[in-house]
Amino acid sequence: MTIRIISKCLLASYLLLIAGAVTCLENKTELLLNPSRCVALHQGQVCYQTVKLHWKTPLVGNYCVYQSPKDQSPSTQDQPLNCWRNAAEGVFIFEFAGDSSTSIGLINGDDNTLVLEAIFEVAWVYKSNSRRKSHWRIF
Amino acid sequence: MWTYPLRIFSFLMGVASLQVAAGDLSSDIRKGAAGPDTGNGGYFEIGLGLASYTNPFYGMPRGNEKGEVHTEVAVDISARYQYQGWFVELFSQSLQQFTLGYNAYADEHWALDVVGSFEHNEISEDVNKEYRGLKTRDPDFLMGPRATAYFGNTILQVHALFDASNTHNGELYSIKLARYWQKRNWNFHAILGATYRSEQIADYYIGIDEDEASDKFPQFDANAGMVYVAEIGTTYPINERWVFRSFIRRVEVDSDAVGSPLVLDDHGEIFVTSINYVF
Repeated sequence: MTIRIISKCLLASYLLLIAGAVTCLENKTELLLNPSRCVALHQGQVCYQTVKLHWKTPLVGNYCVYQSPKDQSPSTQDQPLNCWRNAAEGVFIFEFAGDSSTSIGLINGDDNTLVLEAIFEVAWVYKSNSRRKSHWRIF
Repeated sequence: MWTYPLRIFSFLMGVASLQVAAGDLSSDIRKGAAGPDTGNGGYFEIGLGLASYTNPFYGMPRGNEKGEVHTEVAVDISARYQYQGWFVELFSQSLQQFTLGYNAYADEHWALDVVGSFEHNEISEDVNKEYRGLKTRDPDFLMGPRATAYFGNTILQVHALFDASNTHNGELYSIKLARYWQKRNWNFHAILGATYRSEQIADYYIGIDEDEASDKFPQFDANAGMVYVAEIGTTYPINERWVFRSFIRRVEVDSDAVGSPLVLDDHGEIFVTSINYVF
């Protein structure tokens, strides 16, 4: 199923896609993630974080929050994290567990429009420095 | 003397230690590493912490008595750099403080390195006036192969080191088994290890020769012996730059060694908590 995008708001969203907080000023729409990042000790480890999500739109409707890999826009083909009926605002607390950054999107279920999108970043202290090929070497 | 107290001593003095190739077991297990570091590059971190310890060795620190608990501010330095297989590691909380090496083989689960490390520090009047009357025990430099196996959350490491400094011509063999567990973003680790030191090493550092014997340091012939270590600890990433570390370690020394006037007890413990900044 394709998703139409509210282009005006999405443009503003991209401009304000900082620290997991996205606000579409023109429409008084916002999607906040608190915290907006998770830090694991070593690259490749699963990072765990309790995240509070808060969204707000000017229009009452049926909305769902979806999660997808960072380089993909959330879609209704994914399993929703949570849904609200006849709401213009919502708060949701969820447990994040993942080894890479992810995209969180608010989709209007009435017309499958991606209303807002925010990035939840996964970072680490020690990056992996391994080459997986087996090899002998002499100087 | 055994490296353990010397390492504690170095740690407390803020002296770092470099280590070897595929990755030092103590540092790898703290990082939750799933395999050997075989690429070029490295990292450096420095931290400040508090250490409480008992040391079973005479003169470490000065005025040390059996079972006496010492608490001091500790500087913790960890560094590792590798280029084209050559590497140097410094990790003051490690069981192997300073190591230089070359990684000869590596795959996803195994690493074979040739390493060299300063295992025993100098004991002399210059280091501590309490050793007055004793002949100088020079620091050594041991070299040999090191094999490390990574299987899931478990790391096994063995050393076979031989004196390359012509200090005592002794041999040291060690085996260490480490495992880590991740509970949310906390990393917990446990290490068990055993180290064998040949009679040449033992007698050189804790033996008392006839020509240096006195009422204070009676003659003692040391035999080859074992040292056992057990450690549990935790590491937590506060953010991308700051790491919290804590561990407790106990070392058991062969009871035969306690007969030496330079060995006060058959065990020692250390508890360290530190906050480290990773560059």
